[in-house]
Amino acid sequence: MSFFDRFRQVSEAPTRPPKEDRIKRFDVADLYEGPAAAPAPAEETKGALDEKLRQAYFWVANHAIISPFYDIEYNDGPPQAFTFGDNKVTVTLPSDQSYSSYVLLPLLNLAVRRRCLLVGGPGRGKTAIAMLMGILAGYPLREIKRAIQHGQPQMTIADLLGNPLPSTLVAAKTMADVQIAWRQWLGMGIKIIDEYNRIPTRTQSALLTVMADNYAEIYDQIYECPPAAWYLTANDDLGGGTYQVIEALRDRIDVMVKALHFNTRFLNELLLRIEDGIRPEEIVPPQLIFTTGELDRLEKEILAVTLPAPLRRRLEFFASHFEFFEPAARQIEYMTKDTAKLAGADISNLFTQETGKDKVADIGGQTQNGLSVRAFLTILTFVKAMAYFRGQSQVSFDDVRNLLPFVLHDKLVQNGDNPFFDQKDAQGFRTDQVSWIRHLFDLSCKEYERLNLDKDDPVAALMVEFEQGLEGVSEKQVRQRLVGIERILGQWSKARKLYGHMYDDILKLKYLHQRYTNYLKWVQWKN
Amino acid sequence: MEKLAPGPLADALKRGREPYNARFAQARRLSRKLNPEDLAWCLAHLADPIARAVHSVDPARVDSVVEALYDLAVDLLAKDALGPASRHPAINRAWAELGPAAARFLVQEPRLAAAALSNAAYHLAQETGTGLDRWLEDMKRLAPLCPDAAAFLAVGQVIAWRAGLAHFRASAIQVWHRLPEPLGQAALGIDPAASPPPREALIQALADPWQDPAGAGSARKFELALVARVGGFRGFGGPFISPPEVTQTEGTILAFDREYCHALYADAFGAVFKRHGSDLPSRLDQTPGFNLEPSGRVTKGHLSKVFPELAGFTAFAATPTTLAVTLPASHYVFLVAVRPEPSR
Repeated sequence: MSFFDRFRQVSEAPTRPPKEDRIKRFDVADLYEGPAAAPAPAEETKGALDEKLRQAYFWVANHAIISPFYDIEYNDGPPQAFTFGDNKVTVTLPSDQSYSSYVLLPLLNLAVRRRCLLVGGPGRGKTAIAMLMGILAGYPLREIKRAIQHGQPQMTIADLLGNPLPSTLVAAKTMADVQIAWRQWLGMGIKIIDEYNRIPTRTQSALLTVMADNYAEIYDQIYECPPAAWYLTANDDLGGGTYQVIEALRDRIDVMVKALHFNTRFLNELLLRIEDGIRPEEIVPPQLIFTTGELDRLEKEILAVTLPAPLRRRLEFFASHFEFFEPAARQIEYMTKDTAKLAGADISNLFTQETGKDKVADIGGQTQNGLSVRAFLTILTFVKAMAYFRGQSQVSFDDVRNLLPFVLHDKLVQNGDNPFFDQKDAQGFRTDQVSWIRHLFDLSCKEYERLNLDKDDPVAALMVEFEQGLEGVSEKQVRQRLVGIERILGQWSKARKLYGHMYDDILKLKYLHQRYTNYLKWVQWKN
Repeated sequence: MEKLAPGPLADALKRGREPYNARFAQARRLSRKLNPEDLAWCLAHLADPIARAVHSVDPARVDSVVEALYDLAVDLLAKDALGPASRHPAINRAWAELGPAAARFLVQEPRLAAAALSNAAYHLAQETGTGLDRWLEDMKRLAPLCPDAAAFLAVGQVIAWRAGLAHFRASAIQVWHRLPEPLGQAALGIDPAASPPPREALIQALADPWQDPAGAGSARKFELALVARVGGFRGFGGPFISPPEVTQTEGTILAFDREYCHALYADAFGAVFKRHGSDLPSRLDQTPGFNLEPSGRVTKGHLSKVFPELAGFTAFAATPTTLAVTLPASHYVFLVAVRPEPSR
């Protein structure tokens, strides 16, 4: 195998062998597979694409981007763990196939065609990995290089989107007569915005329209963009840079991934690349490149992955902690962090008014905001993509636990004044957002298990009853259900303080109560 | 160092001297055990006769075939799979014995055909005893009948099954269905001089793993017979560390000892064990069709016969065509099937 061939080597399938139970069916085509490698045909993959996605991952991780980190850990048995130093830094050796977030997240983003922010200091390979994704999406390197939008303080909307053709501009009687020379990158399935936090605010607004609504507009002319995977890079994950990033634009970013440092033990790899003139982006194996049809199919197959109800319930429970904010209002529906934020109130100051709760135990107090619908959609999409990537037909607990930090990184804003962060073993969480969010999820799951919600969830039982429909439900049954709801609310009002996870349950009970009340009135009228 | 005789290979290497040297140097950086002497040996003994044959077919394609052979030779040498010290001498044999005969197909698909023939030889040597000899012989014999590389490789698949790779039986038969008529018959070993059996008779014979389709169409009686004894003690090259037992799932017989479970594929041309894992599959099926009594009497439909050697068996399992039986003091699996009585 030549040196170049080594870089072109694709991991042998299956990259994640399934547990053997069924008898293997042999194909005589395997007769011609073996130690002598034949050139692989670059044709559309017929079967499931998860294997191709994994092969692409392993190729990028092993040959293109030197990212020898396994921060997305999976275990199928107890992992070996070692502790180092006075602060008991734990290093675990995962017992199942684990992954580098810096390679995996951009790849999943390509598969679901969402928006990925790559953050890290200069020269850490942010643009390189974005370009690799472009090549995997089937674009020639030259085209990708030309299509990268380099953020800079003088960037205008015309630089970003295109220019009106001068001849049509002069002759136009109406705006409809103006023809626009749209920039080529708008029509591509991969969009790379380098250093997006150096783009002037006004141009950011134009970018927002393309990112959010997938169309561009100049002079009343509209350009509809195809579905695309976005890669934005920034040197500063606070959204700083030359210009402050507008919040709506930040909110459109679905996942954030950090370029980790260069491990000096891999310097020899760099040396070999320099000496042999190897540029990974120039030698992507053709069998790893996805066609547009494959990318469409990939997205559909990912969305077909199921999320089991018990896991969905844990996710609901986790998310329910964050929005509730008792000091924000008098009426329960408005007791949210959003209410306080919209009113321009100092949330940190309002937090001090909360009394009676254990501020360390209440994980809702650790954030300044709750989760948006967009955040939920992104979580659901990416956990499915993660499960699909691992060859699973349904999402697992570890998929959720591993992916949440990258989706919520820019979406959950830390409340640094919360006493939780002053604890000795929690100080690193102020700066390590990924570990903090994972820890939040762990705490939430612990609470979920303490409350025994898998087995004893009265609201879930009422929802199941309600989802069976109201048709044929008698007046007597409705009254029983109403009493049931009132009894639960009565019990809760006596025994417990009001926490975030109860807030959504109470509102749900109020909703059910109202639906039954309306139905009861209708039944009475009908009778 | 082996000296290369003047000829098409030497000329082609001379034309691409610098890139070939650079490629070898690069490959050597990754695999220190690659040495120029071994490469020279491969070129002189294996690639040179092929290049000469290619030159006689299409001189214009010599360069591209030499390039493919050179890269493949370096690749295989680095894996100890080619050359004078190869761990897989079968690949050397494929190059030396079949390469020149396949020149017409190497011209069409240099790397693909060279790699395919190398890999097929490797599998045949790994899985069968004398299957490689039969396969090489048949491939050389049938090469002139093949119109192109695709047909040649398809014939190779069918012949490989008949050379003993029983696990490929089902898919090889599918490949056979796509072969043109005279070539298909030749691939099944039917004598072109004799009048060929009707296609329906061939298809019927192919449905029975214990019938050789070469004998299809001749009306013969059927009998229950001990058709094979397969397996053996691991110390003597077999798959089992202790006397195995058998069961059946999804139409496949499984033989298992105290360590591993193997799927057994067997037909009139050979038997192959494929390791399934250390556990039996969760689903095990009933044994259809055959009945075995403690005395060793086997009954299948209206046929019945006593096999004294099977008395006192430890386990038996069957597919619709084959009964597998194991004994307490044997590392072998005994196969009983209904087959045509041998012609007298």
